[in-house]
Amino acid sequence: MTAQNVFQIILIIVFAMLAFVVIFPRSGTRGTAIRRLVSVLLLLAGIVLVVFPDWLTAIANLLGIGRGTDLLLYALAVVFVGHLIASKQNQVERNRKFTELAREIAISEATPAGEAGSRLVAEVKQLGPAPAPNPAPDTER
Amino acid sequence: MNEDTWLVVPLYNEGTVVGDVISDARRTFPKIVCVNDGSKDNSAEVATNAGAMVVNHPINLGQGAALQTGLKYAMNDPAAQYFVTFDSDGQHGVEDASRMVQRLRTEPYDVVLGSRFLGTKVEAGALKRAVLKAAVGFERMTTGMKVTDTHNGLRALNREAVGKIRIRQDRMAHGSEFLREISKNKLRYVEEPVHIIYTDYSRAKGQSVWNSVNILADLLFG
Repeated sequence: MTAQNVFQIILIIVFAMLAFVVIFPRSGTRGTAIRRLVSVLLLLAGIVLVVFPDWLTAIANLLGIGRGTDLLLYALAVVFVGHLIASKQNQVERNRKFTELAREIAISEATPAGEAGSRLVAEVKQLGPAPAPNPAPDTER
Repeated sequence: MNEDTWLVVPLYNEGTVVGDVISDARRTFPKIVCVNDGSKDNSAEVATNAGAMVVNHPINLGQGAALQTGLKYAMNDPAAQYFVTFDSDGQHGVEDASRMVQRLRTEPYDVVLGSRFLGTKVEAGALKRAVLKAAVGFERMTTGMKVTDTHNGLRALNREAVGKIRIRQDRMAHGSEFLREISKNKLRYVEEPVHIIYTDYSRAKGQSVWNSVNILADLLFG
């Protein structure tokens, strides 16, 4: 294996880790911190590559990709899709919290079940025997 | 009269039929909670007048959410031992529900699931039957549960089952989630043949095949 191949593998692994971090955000202190660090690193990388655009081409060639801009495009696609997925997960989580909140309101506004249950049972007992069902319609013509 | 049982009825714009459903059911199941899921019509009023306890969602959340709210509400009644999820549109039979609860009392099960395909009475159209059969296969693959009818809203559960089950799917994917929760919590379940009454009313408003796409998306993506 040539040095180039080794470098390729390393860079692919780095890319995969980046994708993983972006796609599966972990909540909590560690997750937030990791995401912040990655964002800062990406920002720094971006600045460096603007100052030294040749580096982008060099890295792309190492990976076997033709142009630096292609590499940028792939990286952008990964980050974008990852963001979409993370965003959707966030939305799902938020919706769940919202539902729980609405549920609490609904239940707290209603008569407690024990009390309501007793009342309903008493009401039905007072109804008396069921009314006779309607006689079947005359089917003879 | 089942005084230890609550009927949990999700309610959304069924003002025209829910009154009859409740007045009929209450003689067997006096404790009925209707979860009004943001109905735009007079459903809540009709349900209350017919003799149900109405719990109001502040906004429309979905049938799954309404069921979970109703179950959580009913669990607060210390006298409640059994719970039946029951539709508000007249598709479910009180007799069937009664039999299912009786099975919970006498047999070693936590959940009794209604099935259209165990008995001989199947009234659904051919396409709908085909889609339901596909859902059965999917269910068997993903949860290992051997169920003949995966989207039947008539279910009887005991207190232990309701205590362990958490329905997080707000909308129509709750059917599959129920089964996953049963499987996950290793609850003892059995199927009971039931007769679903497809009236013109319910056929017109029923779950379209398109909805299956949405349900699948809900299950896969959140």
